[in-house]
Amino acid sequence: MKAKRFIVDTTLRDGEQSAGIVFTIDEKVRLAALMDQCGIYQIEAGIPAVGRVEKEAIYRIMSTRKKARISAWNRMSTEDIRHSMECSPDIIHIGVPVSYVQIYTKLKKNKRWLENELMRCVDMANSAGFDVTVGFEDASRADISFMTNLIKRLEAYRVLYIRFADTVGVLTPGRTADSVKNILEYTDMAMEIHVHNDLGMAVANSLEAAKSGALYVDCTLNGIGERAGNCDFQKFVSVGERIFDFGIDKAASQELLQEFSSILRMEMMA
Amino acid sequence: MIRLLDRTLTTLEYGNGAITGNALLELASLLTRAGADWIELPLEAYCLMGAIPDGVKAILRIHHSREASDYPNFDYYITKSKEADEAKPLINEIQVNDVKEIELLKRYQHLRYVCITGLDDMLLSSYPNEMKRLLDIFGRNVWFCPEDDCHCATALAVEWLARGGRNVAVSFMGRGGYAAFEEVILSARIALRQKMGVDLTLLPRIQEIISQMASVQVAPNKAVLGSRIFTVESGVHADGLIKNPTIYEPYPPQSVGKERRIVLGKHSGRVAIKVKAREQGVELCDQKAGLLLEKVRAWSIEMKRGITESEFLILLKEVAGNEG
Repeated sequence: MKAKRFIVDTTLRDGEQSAGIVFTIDEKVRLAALMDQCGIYQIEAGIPAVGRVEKEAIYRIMSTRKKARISAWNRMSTEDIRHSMECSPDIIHIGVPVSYVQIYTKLKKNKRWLENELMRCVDMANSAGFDVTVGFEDASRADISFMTNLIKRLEAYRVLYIRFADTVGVLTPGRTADSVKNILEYTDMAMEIHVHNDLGMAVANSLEAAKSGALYVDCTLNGIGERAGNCDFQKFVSVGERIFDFGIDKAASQELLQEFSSILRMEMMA
Repeated sequence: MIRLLDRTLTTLEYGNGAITGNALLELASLLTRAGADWIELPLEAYCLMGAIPDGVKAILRIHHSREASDYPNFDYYITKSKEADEAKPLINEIQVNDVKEIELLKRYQHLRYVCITGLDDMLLSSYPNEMKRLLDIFGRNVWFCPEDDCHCATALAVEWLARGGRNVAVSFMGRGGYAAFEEVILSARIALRQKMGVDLTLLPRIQEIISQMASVQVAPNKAVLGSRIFTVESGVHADGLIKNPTIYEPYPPQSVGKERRIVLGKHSGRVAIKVKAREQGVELCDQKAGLLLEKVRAWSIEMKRGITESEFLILLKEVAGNEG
């Protein structure tokens, strides 16, 4: 029997972050319904802090979904998380930059501050009754020991899994495998892999992460996303299903991809 | 030291008049300057070119070893004929479609140089072991040309180089179903610290020449070459890039002949709004930047796209009035 792995679709969040791509509320709701129907495990539906329209989309997706779990993306900010809570998603995802270049140059903070702020945010979402996932941004350029220690602290909270994000797309399959195996060896946390295609290796790196024990794999339709995009859903599933069971219904995924192509065509013409 | 064999010229369709000798000469030179150690030439290309450009090392594709004598100017010849010819530097290309077939390759161990093509599914297996088996069988005089049916060719080429393989075969944009030249070169730089001295600003020109010779569609988000890979809208990313480009860029856009562009839309943030306003000579306070951001997002959502420069100017005027 093939091992089970779960697809997390982030077309409506990271995909829409591609410059110039905007989905209407109706489009988001329609795509989410088709993703749900084809067996995608989790749908990252958007960023509530962006505003009213984004919140309404997530709220409507929540009200129509059948099986998929719906998550909302947040920066490590209590204000962002409050916006998310208003949409009542299944999962509140909190993104935390973990590489030193991000902590010291972008946030202009230090590791101690980061740890405390993260625990405060996770606690806030947990206390309000939400499941939480935490995204380690720029994990591929971060210190494994630092990430492992952070996970150890997070194990005390209700965190479902940790997203290992190759934010700038510099992983190779070998480095992916080493990182995922290292973290799994030293912690009891489940892992999600999120890669970008800057070097053309997104499908390979996602496969290698899944082979190394990551249970959740982030994809986008047509591989859209920041810069060279994310792991392409169709490509990943078509290759990965030779060794994994993703629970994806082929006919329904064709319908989803057709609908997405027609939306994207309109996008390009707009 | 790694060595790249570029097979782009073998993926073109000759005989329709779209391909000239001069264009091929320029293409071979540019590919070499961008990092190819060897250029594979089909006979049709060599006939059009008439010569091999200075500085270019070429490998001629032939059908049988006896053809090599007719074209004596090459260091290597590549063929699928599986002939052992000690007198000629002959690379025998062997198609292998399944990792299970690797064991059977021992029967070709007597060949001096081989190019193993295929193995698109290798990443689904324990590929470090399979690569080691190939190296054990053939030693270092083996070229690996992974195919891309499983969308893993670039990754396999890079892993081959990282795990002791010396030679890989690739093609520009992965034409013909191989690993993509530009992706492998850039990965070699970033992940293996190899090919540091080659000139990747030539990539757009190479892309242009190939698109004049063949029907080429490059997706706007194609790795390394896409027209929009350095166009940034999201607030978090724009903020980071303004502070320090290495936060969100795997390599500088200028190193591959491109420019970074920050555009505005639904996912913009306050920092990018302020920077864009400053470019117009307007300093915005936090409150006005927030107001303008709301207008930019609303406009972008309504128009279902990013906003243009002229639209931004109109919105800026509404918010800032005569400030600045």
